[in-house]
Amino acid sequence: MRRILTVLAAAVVLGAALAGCGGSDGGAITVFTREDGSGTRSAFVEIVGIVENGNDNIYREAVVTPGTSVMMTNVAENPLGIGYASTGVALGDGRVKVLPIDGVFPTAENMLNGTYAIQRPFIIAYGSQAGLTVLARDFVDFIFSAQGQAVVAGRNYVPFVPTGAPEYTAGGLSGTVVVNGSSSVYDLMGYLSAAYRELNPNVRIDIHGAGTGHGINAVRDGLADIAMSSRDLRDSELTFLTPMVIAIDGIAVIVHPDNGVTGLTLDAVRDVFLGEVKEWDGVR
Amino acid sequence: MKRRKPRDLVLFLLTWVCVGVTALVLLTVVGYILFNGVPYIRPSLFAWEYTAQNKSLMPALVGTLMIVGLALALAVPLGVFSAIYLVEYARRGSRFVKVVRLTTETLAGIPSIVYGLFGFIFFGVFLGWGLSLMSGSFTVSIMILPLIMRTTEESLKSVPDTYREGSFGLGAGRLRTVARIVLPAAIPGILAGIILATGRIVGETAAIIFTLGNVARMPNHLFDTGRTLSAHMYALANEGTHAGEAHATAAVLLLVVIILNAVSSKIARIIKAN
Amino acid sequence: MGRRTLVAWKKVCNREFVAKVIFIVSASAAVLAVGLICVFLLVQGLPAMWDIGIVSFLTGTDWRPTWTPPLFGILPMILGSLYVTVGAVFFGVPVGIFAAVFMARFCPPYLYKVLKPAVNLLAGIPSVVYGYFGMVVLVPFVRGHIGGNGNSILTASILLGMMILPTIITISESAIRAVPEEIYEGAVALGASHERAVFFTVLPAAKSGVFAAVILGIGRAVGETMAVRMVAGNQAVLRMPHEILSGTRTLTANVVIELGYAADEHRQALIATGVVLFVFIMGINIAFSMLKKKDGL
Repeated sequence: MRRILTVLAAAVVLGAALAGCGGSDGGAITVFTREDGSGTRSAFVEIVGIVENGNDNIYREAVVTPGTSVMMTNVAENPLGIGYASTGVALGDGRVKVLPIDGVFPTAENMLNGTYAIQRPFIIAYGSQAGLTVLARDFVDFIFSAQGQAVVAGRNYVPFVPTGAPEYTAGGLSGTVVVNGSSSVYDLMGYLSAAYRELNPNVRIDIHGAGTGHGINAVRDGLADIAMSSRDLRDSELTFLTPMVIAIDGIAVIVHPDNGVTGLTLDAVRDVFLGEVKEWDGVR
Repeated sequence: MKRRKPRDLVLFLLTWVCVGVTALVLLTVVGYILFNGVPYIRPSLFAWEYTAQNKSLMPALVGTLMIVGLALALAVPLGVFSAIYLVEYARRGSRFVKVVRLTTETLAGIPSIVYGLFGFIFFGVFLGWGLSLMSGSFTVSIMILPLIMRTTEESLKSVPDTYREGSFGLGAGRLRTVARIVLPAAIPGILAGIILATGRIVGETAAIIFTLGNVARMPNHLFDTGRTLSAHMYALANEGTHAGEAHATAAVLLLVVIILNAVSSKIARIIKAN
Repeated sequence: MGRRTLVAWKKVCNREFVAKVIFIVSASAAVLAVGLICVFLLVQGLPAMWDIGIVSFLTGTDWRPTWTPPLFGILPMILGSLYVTVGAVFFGVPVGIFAAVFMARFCPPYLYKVLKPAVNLLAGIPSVVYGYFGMVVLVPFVRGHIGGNGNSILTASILLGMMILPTIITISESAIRAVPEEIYEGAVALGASHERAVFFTVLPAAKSGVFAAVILGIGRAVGETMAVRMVAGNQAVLRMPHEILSGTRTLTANVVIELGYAADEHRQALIATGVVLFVFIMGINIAFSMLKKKDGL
């Protein structure tokens, strides 16, 4: 018992000493990435070219941040960090700096004319065989209406049907629509459903943000009416799903606001996320 | 103050330092959360219905109360009864007691994410309860069972044997002795266990999101999905950017825990006074 | 003895019997639960482990679930869980035990009235809140004052150490309090100082309770998911014990981060990860109960 006590006491002292010692290293880049399976991640690695033989080859030492918000907070707290997130989220959050890529800033215009390269569609999909219920069809009609697309534009996303969308009129329906999928689309879907429910107070829309893959499985298994995806659907998924693009979203490369870097080339982004450039001096 | 030998002094000071560290941990966490969260608490956070704009935590709050109530209703009788059996009835060292002890320790050590997986596979899929209050509360009730058993056992054991002997001596049977003499004396300890258990349920996320689900609305019946405050906080911390609401929700979550603790210790004091 | 008394006696006996049966059935609930958990996890997880190959699953150093063909090696996660748990014990257990001794034997009553609810509150703080706190306070602190990028084994260990404190303190304290007063008085009567009596007679007498506290603490550290995944970095990379300033991924984080996306083989591999976690816990428990038997506790 005496020996145990000595060990305990020593551990307390050592712990205190360890907590007190200092020192940190210089300009090493901290790379933040989203988790495997995230729609944002797979779109990002594909466009930036961090894929080898079809396999995601992102820097193994990259810190994995599960969720958009975790990514944002980490980059906002780390002066040497770099990460990526939906432009709809990143542009609306003053805590991080969004970098121009090859001199092009991710504005709606630059995404529509294609000069900002890192962009992907937000997709909703339903089962090809079962089709949509009357209620779900009504909600989809709303999303593609002038009112629905106005919600999209109002939240820093790029409407897929910018002009000439039809007006929506409520049909007085009631019931429940279940939506499941990408956590990136989740936010936008929340605003869409809020706007829809102002016109249709008797309809309940249950939105789960369990991830793109999860949403697709849920629709396949009949557990959800509509799946949300933040990437293009794969061929195997297109055999049972009918996709529709509801908006275009860029992926912003983000750094700490105190970071001196004012822009990166797409090649530099690739090098950083491949782990080939490890110091900020290497890209400046 | 009387003079101490050096070793005694070191030990004495270490106890103070360690309790100081504990207090510091608490003050930092609670202080940080309240300081950053309370300014964001707005009436719209408590709207009856959740929308993407208001991020109301009301459905989550109601869901939390439901899960806590259901899980305690399941686990407290089971836990207290089994502790009574182990301490007051079973022969010390019988094979059954050993098996129960081992399994209880096992249950206590099982990670909540494994409970989540199990609850999802067994209650959700095998019994077909899906993501529901039933799946959620059954899962967390298994999770808190060992906590209630252990604290009840400890407090039953700390009741002096003279109480029991006195009761038997006056002609009371075993059940009467347990119900009238031993259990009342052990109640503060049992309540402490229930507080810990409630805290664990309120704080549980991993087991909840795979069994209850994580949908921001009021459950309408036992087989309906919903979310708890912690699951709500988890969602806010992951999806989109709602730093203000996340802070405020954390503060409310903490306030719920503070109120829970205050109420429980008040109950314990009242019982002790009688 | 009159007929009336006889009936009354019978009733009592019956009530005793019924109560005993209820108590035994309740006590079996824990056994039933563990049985169900074992069966259902194994049925879901083992086939996947078999397909991947048990050896390459457990000793594989690459976790690439989205590659074609996918790689499912969980050795980095097994070691990750081990490191952060050891770290949590290092930070949490000594502080917890000393604090428990203080609360049980050194604490002035006025202070106890504040400390006891404080510890209960610490136990009640949800792990998501700890995780959020860790991400915005501890991670920058470690990055600024100790080194690395902050998302590391060390940060996770400190956070977990904080989180297991209330478990260690509460259980240890009640164990120390349950030690009969005569043991303390005997030591003091033999000339021991207060500290000596408490640390060398009372604390050893409470050994089994304190061990139980540590077991529960380890359980909480191994099982912690929501807080760890916010601060540990989550890289599925094999680490050596000295790389405490590098990030790691625990078994729990692996499940919770990817389960939402996973389908088919990937999903089964994650359930198999849960099985490995479960087997670990069983191992810890069996080791401890053997230790207890050896110590004659």
